[in-house]
Amino acid sequence: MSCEECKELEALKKALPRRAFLKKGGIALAALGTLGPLAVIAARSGGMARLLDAPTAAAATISAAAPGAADRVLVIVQLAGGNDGLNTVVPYQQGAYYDMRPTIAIAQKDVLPLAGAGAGLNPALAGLHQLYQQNQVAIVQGVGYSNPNLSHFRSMQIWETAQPTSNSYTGWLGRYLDGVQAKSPLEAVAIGSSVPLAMQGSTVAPPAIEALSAFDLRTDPRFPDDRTSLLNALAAMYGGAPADPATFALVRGATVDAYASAAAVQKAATGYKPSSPYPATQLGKQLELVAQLVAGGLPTRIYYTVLGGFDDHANEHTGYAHLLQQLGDAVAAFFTDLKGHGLDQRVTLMTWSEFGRRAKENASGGTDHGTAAPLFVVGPSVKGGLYGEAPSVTNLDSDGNLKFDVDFRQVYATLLQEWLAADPAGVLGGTFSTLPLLQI
Amino acid sequence: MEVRTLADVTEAMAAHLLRRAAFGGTAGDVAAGAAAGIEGTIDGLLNYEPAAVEQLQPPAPKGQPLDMTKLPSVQLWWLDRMVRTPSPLQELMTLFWHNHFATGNSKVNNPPLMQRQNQLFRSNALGNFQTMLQQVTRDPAMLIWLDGTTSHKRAPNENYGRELMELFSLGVGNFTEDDVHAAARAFTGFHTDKSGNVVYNKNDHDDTVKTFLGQTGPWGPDDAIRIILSQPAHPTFLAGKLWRFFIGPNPSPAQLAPHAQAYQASGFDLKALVGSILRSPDFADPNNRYALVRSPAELVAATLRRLNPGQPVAQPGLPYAVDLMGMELFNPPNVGGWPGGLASPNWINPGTLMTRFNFAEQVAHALPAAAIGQTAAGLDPTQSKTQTISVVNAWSGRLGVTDLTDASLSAITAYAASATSAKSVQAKSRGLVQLLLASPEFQLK
Repeated sequence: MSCEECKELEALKKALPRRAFLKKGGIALAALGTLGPLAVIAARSGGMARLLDAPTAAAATISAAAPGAADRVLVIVQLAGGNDGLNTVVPYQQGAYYDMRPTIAIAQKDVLPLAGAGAGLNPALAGLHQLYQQNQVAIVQGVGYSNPNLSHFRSMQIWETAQPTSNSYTGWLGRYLDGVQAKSPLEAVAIGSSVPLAMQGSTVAPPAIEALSAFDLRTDPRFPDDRTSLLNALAAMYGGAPADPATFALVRGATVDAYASAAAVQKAATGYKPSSPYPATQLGKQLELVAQLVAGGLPTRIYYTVLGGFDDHANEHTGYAHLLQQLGDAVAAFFTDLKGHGLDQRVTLMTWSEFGRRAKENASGGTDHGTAAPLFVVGPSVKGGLYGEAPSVTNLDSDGNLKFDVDFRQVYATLLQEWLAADPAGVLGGTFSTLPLLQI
Repeated sequence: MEVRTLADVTEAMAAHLLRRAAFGGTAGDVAAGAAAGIEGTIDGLLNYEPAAVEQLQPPAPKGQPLDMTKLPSVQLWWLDRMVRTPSPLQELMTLFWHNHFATGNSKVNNPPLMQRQNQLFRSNALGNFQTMLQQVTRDPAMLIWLDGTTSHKRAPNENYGRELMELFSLGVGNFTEDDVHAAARAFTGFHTDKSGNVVYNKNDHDDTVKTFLGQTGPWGPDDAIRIILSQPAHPTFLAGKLWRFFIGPNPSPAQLAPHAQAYQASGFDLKALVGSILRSPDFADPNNRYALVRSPAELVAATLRRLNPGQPVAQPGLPYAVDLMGMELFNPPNVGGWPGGLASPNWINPGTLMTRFNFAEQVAHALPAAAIGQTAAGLDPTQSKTQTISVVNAWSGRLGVTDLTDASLSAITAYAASATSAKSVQAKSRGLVQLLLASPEFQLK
């Protein structure tokens, strides 16, 4: 979107009638006031007893000092579209890389070297490079899986479900949430307007938060005395909704969670100020919202963000650097802010993308769908450095694609076991060797 | 007087049909549909005049004409069509094709080209699918979106060829990587000129022999489309996608077979396919009622079609309201469209449901005083319960929530009947509308 249009959209957003909340915390009171109908809903919802605990669990603040396993937060940044691994972690000492990419290769002089490695970071990742130099970035190289699929959708599905050989409709994080029997509907939060497949469990539908101002149950501010009556009626409508078809149960469950989580989120959001500035980018804003919610003491263990636009089939030299810069700068700002709040020890961030790209550039100055690529695990609990073998740029598969070294499920297993203290075999449906990339 | 529910089976079916194929309808529309008969109502929805919608002048919120070089203006223009069109099924199908051939302005970066593509979908909404594919292949927004403009004879770009087969016509598993390479070659030669018009450069087209989906020849773009459509996987693929949009989430192969056959026999006529689906016993099965989720655009269009029938959309922020519910028109998340499709449970999570409730609040809040005068009179504490019920009936009929569940009816009636003061009468007159628009029934279709 051009800046012209950005401005237009911003202006429209401002023009929307946005009424101030009734009063801060008024929502919490209202939600407590509806415990009658809420109890009815929970009782009728079968297996949703956790919802009754929600206000209590959400109100509990978590100590910032000495985080235990229960206080740890995992932030996912999905790079949607297929990130070009070779132009992210650049094998700048290999002539073959320059032969295959005459117009889009990153010049040796521009690469940000990684000590002891035959590769360096794309210069647009300066923010991430700084964290790397502080030993806070693990670069896992050559991540992929056997028999890679070159369809965005199938490969995304494979990564999100962690099931490369079958069609699964639950995601790896969703199964983790199923397994821990989440006490709060805010155990996981998707930043944005939709919940990714990765977070869909068989019993859990986490909320998506696009903007804090919209994450509230509004009633007409001219009639504050009617608010409780209206919210009670809404709760009664949904509480008594039939069990069939399943769509009624879906909206009923989401409404129960909406009541509980609106109150908790609005409470958590008060009083936060970033300790350092964020770039004014989509990812910058998303990670700032994550920091705000972590600082507000939400019980959330998993946050999910998406940065799109990586499907660079053409003219990669024009837009790709901006995307990487958006990533590196936002992640750097995020950890600086968290550190300022004394919260960085609690947070580890992981990036992923559905595939890397073809080793050889195409005639459109872009790259087609590929296979293995590096990913980043970031945070003060990370043992910085390189993990896994960088894929050879000369020993390619029959389609001209890179061969993988680390199965992506090894990264998941590591984070599940070491960071979230969960049983990875139960979530992943198999045993995968972990990587020594955390120091806890 | 009891609260009204649709005990009449024909009316219940007519209400279902309107929810699925016409952005819903008022109690009057439902009664008219039942009186005309279900068959006749289906025929009426299918046999619209494709150009009739072009009579509508674009809206001009606050007296200002829309600047159609800006995306929010194009979004508003489309929402206005959904609200005012005399041919609702055409507009629904336009939405279906936008999700099917999901193209994003995030990359095209040219709102007028997005509008042009939207017109392509509208004019072919229930036309012939072969014609549709031929036109989509030559559509400038699509050429930019899937890199046709940078695909050359010497170096074909495989993006369009792959997605054409995987997402637009056959489905994954029905072609090989070699077919992707061959398709890329067959589609070379299309470019855009400075004004965004498509030009075909014969010299940049690869006219050599290629083997594509088992057939060998010097295939060009329309050959490739013909070969794709001749694959046995195609009719079932498209029937399945339309089934999930109109009927329910999980069609079996046996359920799809008659529709796929009718479509193939018609020579890829979309009206034959959609007609077959709407007339099927599966569509009429009462178990499928309310089994689908209304997409954000359909929810907003249904609201405004009920409340301000025939009136141009006046709220410039309307596209953003749809966006907050999870649907940025002209910017689907990727070429696969919105996850799970247009009628999927994925639209619902605690956050998006809240934005739906809050939209209902904004709408009720903005009702002019005249619109609730009679309502307020009926809710006065001195009035009888019968009066309250007739007020609830009037609004549920007007908003097209004609077959409310017992829980919704009793909750709304109890709410409306509990006014104690003049001020709470005012509050509940609007709150009643908010509750109906926020009801579980209104989120579903």
